[in-house]
Amino acid sequence: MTNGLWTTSVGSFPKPPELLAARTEHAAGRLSDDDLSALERRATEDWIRFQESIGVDILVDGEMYRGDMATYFAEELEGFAIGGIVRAYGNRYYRKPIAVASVRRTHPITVEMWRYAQSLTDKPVKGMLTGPYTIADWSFDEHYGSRREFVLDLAHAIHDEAMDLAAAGARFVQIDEPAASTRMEELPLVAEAMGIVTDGLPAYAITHICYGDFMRAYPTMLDIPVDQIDLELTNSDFELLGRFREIPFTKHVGLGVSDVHSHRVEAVDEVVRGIKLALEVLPPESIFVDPDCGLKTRTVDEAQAKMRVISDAVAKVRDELGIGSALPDVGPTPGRNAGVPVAVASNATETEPALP
Amino acid sequence: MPHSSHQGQAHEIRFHRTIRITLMFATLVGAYPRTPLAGQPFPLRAAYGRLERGEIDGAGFREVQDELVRELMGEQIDAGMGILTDGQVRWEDAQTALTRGLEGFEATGLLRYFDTNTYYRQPRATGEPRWTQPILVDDWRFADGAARQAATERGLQPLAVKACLIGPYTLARLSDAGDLGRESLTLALAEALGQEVRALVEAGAPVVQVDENALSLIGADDEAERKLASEALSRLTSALDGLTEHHLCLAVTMGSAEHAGHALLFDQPFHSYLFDLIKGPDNWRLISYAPADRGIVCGVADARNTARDDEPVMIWAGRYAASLNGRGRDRVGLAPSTGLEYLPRDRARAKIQALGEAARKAGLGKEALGTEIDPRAVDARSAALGRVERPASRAGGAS
Repeated sequence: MTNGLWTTSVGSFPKPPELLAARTEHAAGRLSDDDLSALERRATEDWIRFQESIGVDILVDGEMYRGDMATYFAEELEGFAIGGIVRAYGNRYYRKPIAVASVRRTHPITVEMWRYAQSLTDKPVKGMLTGPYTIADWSFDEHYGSRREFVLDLAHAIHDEAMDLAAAGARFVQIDEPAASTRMEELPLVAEAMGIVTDGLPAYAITHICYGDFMRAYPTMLDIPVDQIDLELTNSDFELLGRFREIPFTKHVGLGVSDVHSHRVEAVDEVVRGIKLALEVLPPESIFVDPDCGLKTRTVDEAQAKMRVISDAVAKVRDELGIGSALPDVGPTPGRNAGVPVAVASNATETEPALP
Repeated sequence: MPHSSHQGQAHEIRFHRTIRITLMFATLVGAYPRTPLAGQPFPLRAAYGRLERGEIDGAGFREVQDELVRELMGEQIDAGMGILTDGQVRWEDAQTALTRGLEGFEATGLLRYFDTNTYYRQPRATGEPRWTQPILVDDWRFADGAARQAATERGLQPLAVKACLIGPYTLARLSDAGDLGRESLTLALAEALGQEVRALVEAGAPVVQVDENALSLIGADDEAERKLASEALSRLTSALDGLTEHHLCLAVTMGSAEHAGHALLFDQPFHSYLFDLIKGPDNWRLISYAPADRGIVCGVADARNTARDDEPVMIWAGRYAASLNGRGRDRVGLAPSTGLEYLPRDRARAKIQALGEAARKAGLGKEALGTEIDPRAVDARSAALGRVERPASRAGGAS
């Protein structure tokens, strides 16, 4: 039996109201670190239990301990100051870091929380990191004056964190690069930095990219040396899949099938449609199914409903097509360094899929 | 040309009458942080949440926005800005601010805005866009009143408040044109937005700025795009036919418009042009082609980074733009490189304070300027030859 269509989540889940209130109290100095940490762990456990209850294959800790994905790492790395708040969209704001000295990792950042989350379940929990390009792009720079130097210093720091996660036992390490599709001319820098991060990494490496110009970033994005690229596809109604017919996708794909910026919960058949569109161009054993992006902007009820729909939709397709759910013994795949198919690079359009 | 009020004395009188600063001035591109200064409460964010929960209505939410606009007017005046904006703090984003008032659009998925870490809901054309009523006029009127009040409270003469709106080429390029197709959408938007520009002028807006950031996306070989953009701007500006008392500015930020070409830009009847000179330093080449009777606003303070900008560089930029083709300092301004919404409020305030001060100094005569900054920045040639004469007030200062 073919196994595939494994379910997972991109990373973040919404924080429960009591944790949000606690974070406010902590920021005001009215709640201790230990008390906040206890609430973060309780919320993490709740999300682990929820994911297990609906049959998710690869779990996340839900990032109950993070605010912004770039700022969280900047706060823990040497060389950053944390600036004032700036707006991302709508009524969403974050504290944007400022590089004021050379960036250096002085201690493990996520390992302890990963160990805790993994201790709660027998299913694999992803190690979750933010990529060097995105941290640099979402920071101000008052030190380097060179984007490349800034990004590559960060790459070494994130590499050390990834290696520590793998040493702790993480089989899946996700290095999010949502900014990767922002500037086409800097995609080689994204790939160079990711090459440093995943160099010698004995775990299955994923990167998540979202809300950029995928049509222009493809196929160059295939040069990013990871095993899986997780893509937000619902938001663009799966437009990119059409390009996979012309230029084969050489890695595993994280298939975003749920709009994380909509309150509306998709119908199961909508998600089934998205999965089947992907199956027209990719084999099931290369597909991991998840929401478009982190679900932290939804309410707890909305996020859980969306995850249930994804789980139900995958079960429906698996039943219909006879696809199993057994998870292979993953690690680095041949696709990590496969890059853009050679035939395509020489302008050929008829190419056999080079799937891992 | 649909009109020619940018040329000759009429334009100059109008321009000088509507801005109090007679030589260099400083202005925002448009947007300013809606966030609070460090340590201050954030009533707008709280109000947004209360609006979503139904605890206040639209009028109650607008009152909170009104208060913020009043606050920002004072902040700009105190920083020495010569032309003000409302900071665009009421806008979800530059696209939605217009498309929600036009017929023929719906909002779709989130997209990244150029290469920033901010997002907008992509408008999708559901039919030919149609302008049915003024969209931004009430907001401009409120801002103008708030600016007058803030100036009066400070014992100053009122300052001009600039109205800003996205241009048709950029709006179409950032939208999903649907079945209409981008060319048809662009030209229909030119007609529709032209009506909005006319409404703003008729309401009394002394300066209307059309933001065409997508001109920076035009490549060297994109002749069809150049032609489309040119036609769109012609149609937009022709909406002002018959009106003489106005000042129309074309702004290009987020990159270089070099490949759009000087002919596209300067054949159009805009009175002034604002260029991003940080992300698009090649825009200097365009400026060198600008006729002397057109104003130039130099986007020289980096709006995408918190680092302090070099004051002599900003001053040099303004004076260089003034010297090109004998333009003169009364047709030149200084600005951030793009909207300041990407910065925390404290840093944005520091940027406009620096811009206000740089504009003041750039408007000084050479000798006076030499007393306020390192004289080598005023007369590099003399300094290089070791012949600079230091003003008495700085003797023994700079080495």
